[in-house]
Amino acid sequence: MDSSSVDTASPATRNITWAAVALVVLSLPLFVAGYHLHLLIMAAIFTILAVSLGVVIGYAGLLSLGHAAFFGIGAYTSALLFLHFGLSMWWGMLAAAVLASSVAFLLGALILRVRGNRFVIVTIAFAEIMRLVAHNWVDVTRGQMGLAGILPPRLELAGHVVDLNVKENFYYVAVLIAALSIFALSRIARSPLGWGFLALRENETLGESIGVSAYRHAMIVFVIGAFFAGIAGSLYAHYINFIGPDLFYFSYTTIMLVMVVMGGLGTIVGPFIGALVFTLLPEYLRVASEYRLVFFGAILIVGILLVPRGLVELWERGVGFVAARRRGAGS
Amino acid sequence: MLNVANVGVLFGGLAALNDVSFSIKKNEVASVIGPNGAGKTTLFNVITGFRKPTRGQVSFLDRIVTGMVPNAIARLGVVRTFQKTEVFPGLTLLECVRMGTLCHRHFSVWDVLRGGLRMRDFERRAIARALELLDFVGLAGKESQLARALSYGEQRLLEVAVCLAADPQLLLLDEPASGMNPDEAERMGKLIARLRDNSISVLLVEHNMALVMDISDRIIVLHHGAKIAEGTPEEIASDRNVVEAYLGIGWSNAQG
Repeated sequence: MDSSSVDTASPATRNITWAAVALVVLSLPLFVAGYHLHLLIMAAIFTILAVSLGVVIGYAGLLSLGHAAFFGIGAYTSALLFLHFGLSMWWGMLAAAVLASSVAFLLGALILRVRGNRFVIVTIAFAEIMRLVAHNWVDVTRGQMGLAGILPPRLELAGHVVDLNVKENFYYVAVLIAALSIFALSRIARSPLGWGFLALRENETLGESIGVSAYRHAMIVFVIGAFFAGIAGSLYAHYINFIGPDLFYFSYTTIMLVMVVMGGLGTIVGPFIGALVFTLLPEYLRVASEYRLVFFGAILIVGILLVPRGLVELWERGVGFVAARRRGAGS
Repeated sequence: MLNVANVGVLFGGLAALNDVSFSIKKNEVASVIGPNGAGKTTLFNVITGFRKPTRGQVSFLDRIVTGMVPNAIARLGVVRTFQKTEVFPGLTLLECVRMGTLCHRHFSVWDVLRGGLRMRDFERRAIARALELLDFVGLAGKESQLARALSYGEQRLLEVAVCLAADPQLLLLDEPASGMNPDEAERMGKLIARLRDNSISVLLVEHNMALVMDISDRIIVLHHGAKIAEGTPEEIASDRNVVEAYLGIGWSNAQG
């Protein structure tokens, strides 16, 4: 796969495309409300999860199936800090990211020396252990009852109090955090550090022999992935106001994986598109009532067959079309 | 600069290498020859840290490298290619070669997030260096092709360029001309000679005897894991043991 495919569009075309995306994203609350807006906020949260997992899997080739664990750790950290110490989401989010990435560091120190199949299994097991902890450590997590009353932070802008209980307002907070996350992740992925991730995915033996430490890059990407999953967890907890052990379910990791793979491996924009499509699609398929999941499965299969490199292929064709039109208009 | 002292490797009860010692001087092209299974690739693995020797040690520029991981040895200046060609198949040639420039520069997450002039300068120089090396090995103009799209011979050249980007002082080439036609092999020979001109020492494992005899300053012969001879190409070609173990009677007749 061509890792720099997104770079192939000219900078001007790319800027125009991103500006258009930004305009649409920012004006959406003018047109949609209620449940649809809720879905968009969820899409923003899943964007952070999918893009960060996309760097871990798509760039570094590390098949981490424990992303939900760091999401859950972030959510519980932020929630407990709010409920017991009254810490706002801003501080909770920082703590969530730091704790999730610290846990990733410790786990990584244990398992990243030997990667491959064992790594995959351990990440799954780790998420399951976290679920059991959340489920059974009733004194702290209230077990199956979950934690309720996790309120969004107070936000004051130019003397006005912005009520983040209002979906429209929270939408902008979620979008801002998702945008910052995408920006940071894409910057990392494109940097020399990101080149090192590619060595890990493509041929770590050759990488080692030319001085690119596989362990170091695996650790960095794993910790970064957990950092952003922690941020997403905190955002989720303060948006939904309630969390339970089901955050650690494997099904969360599965849906993130679908977003990454169907969106497009080895790109930033792919998992972003994947997050949008696969947050919204299952919900809008509800019109098909009990056949919903059948349709969803069929769409996945057809999608994989038609666009094996993921939805990013469609995006590139779109950008290519715009670029061609611009060239056509210019000449 | 490289000193291999009494290295032995046991696979179970079998000695893959037995008390092998030699050294390589600066700006020297040395070759290791011997029949298949003589322990040549095992020797490479020991020198570059991919395998720990059972006995003995390897030092480079007076630093003991035995026990170091491969990427640390590479940073000291010892880089290898592989018998089975290794490239980064899904990356473009440019991306492949610039990877080697990471060898001597580490960036933290904070460095890359902040970006800045130093980073952009590094990226620019990495790309310039990669293009220069692609030109050096004869792959100029193909920098945006995917590595997997190259022919086998071209992949071997690419592998050398990737290794050179890591700025080695000693380059270990494991059968660089295997599977190449005579023209390609000759090109590879010229490339190796140019490495020496660029003050990169070379340790070569190769079965193409014309190539070995042509470019080596010194030849080390392994047989059943033991060094049976060492000398200049002329000395080796006339060594009775070597002719019996490896070159064959035909070779000495042809030379004589």
